[in-house]
Amino acid sequence: MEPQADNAHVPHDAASPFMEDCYFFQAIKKPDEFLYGRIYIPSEECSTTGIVIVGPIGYERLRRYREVVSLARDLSHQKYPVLYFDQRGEGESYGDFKDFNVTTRVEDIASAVRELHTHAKINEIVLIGIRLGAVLAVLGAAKHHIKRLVLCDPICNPANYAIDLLRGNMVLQRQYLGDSKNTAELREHLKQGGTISIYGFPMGYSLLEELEQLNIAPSLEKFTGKTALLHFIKPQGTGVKKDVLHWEQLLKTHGSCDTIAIESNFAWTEKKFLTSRLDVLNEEIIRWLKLSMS
Amino acid sequence: MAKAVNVIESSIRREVVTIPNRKGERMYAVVTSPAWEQQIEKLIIFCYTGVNCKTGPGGSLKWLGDQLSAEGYAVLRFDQSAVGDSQGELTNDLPLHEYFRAIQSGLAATDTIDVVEWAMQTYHPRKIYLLGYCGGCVTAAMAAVEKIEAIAGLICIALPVLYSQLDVQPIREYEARTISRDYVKRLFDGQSWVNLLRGQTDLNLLCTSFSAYGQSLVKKVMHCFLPEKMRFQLHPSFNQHFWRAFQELMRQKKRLLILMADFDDETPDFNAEFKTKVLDRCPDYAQLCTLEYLPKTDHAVLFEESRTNLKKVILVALSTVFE
Repeated sequence: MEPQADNAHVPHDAASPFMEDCYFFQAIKKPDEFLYGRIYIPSEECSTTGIVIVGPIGYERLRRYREVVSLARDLSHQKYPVLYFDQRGEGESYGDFKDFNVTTRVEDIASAVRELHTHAKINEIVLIGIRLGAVLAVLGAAKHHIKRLVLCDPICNPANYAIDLLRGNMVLQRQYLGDSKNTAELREHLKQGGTISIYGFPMGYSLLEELEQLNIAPSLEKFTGKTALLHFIKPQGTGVKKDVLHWEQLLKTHGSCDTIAIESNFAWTEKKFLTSRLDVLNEEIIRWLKLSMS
Repeated sequence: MAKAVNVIESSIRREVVTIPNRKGERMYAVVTSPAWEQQIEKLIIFCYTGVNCKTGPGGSLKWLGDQLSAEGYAVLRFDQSAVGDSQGELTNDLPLHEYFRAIQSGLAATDTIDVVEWAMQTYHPRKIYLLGYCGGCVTAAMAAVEKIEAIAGLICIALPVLYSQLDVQPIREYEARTISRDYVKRLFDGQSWVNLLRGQTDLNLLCTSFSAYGQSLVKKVMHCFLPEKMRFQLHPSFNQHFWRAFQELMRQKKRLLILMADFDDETPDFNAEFKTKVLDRCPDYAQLCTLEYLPKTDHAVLFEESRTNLKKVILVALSTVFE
């Protein structure tokens, strides 16, 4: 089916080389549910490679919110049509955080891919996944015939990430309420249908369970395309973490993988600076996209 | 796939709108309103600090906005210039305390005024309220002064009355008190002593907390012995932008609802520098200001119970304080 570009509603500022807008679009299979998207369409010479950005979740999404928006704009400056969306249960999209899990988030990639096709003539979709978004992008890659993936600081071990989420709640409880359930008690509370606050996001059992049971290795091994695997190191730091090396190894089973170190003081935890953009990261992504074009 | 102009979710209509500021930058906002109402009668515009996005920390502002819309109020949450989804750029890697200081000095005020004007022209609401969260309280106060006829009232959550310090932030009073008490509790915990002997205790944090807490206690005691004139002088770091706006709002007889969280570093400063020195001493001001403390509530309103309580307090105030 020839994709029809539908940009009638995407406003264009005379001074900008791309059109942009924020809006709601329908979720696939659930027409009453919607996703919030930020769309950036080059005004001229629009590439036929479209980019869907699959962001982090929860507090990590908020921690680096503007940086990802800036990445989307930078990519559009380079003539790529880009859609950065909030998964259901996140941000402005439909539903509550507690009601959505890994499976639903992978489904949302399908909605976003379909949506981007309506805005530009696209022959290829690249998924850029950030943190847990990188895991989701890997899981979604097979369904959408993705040939290129950009994985930024991926959550290499989802089970450990799940434990960190529980610990985050314990720290919060101790800090503010002087009281803290242990992980077993938190897990039981979740199993009984309760939620726990992960820096304000009410997490339910479904997400925890899926993260703990997720085995990403088969999806990494099966991917036959090209991958850019970006990871952060401190300035003058060296070495690649074992988890990242493991991912690289698996991605090279049937595909190719470029592991790229990004030197930065960037951290997913404490925020001491208002950072609007991560230029080093953006430039590496753009460079890799150009070099990896087949 | 056509763009969805608005969507309905659980009896709330939700719409993304684009509001141009006076610099021609596009600001994105989400307007939620009761699905059963054709016309927006009562509109609350949220003003936040701008550190992440219009959903607020942990989605608290989105949650609150949705709850208020379910109860009959339209809510507009927007990203000011250069933050969230909106256009515009700030200096990259700006130290957070410098950014807070800029917000506390009115950085987002003109954008907020532009939003109020846009809302008036677009919706013609019968009443507009401004709801500020943290630094957004100062933004809301300054914008309210410029659109004084249009604003029915102001809600301030976690109002910071002192300017953010430009040098390295010491541990503040609430945090120091909480950490110190936690360490005192651990005196009776054997594992904590084992950790200390193993060198696993954060001695720097321990010493800094006790020192900061001790200093705050000494300051309070010394304060009682100061001459009256000095006791009630506004703190040298008292936010003059907020002070000027507040005085004008009082002069115009505008009502304020101030909500301070129990577990918040802003609250001790608010109590010492504003409640004690201003509200308790000026009955004319106190008459127009309703002050409530939110129990078991942190600065970002991260817990479900505290959010539910916050919503109740605001709804009651909207039908009593501002009517």
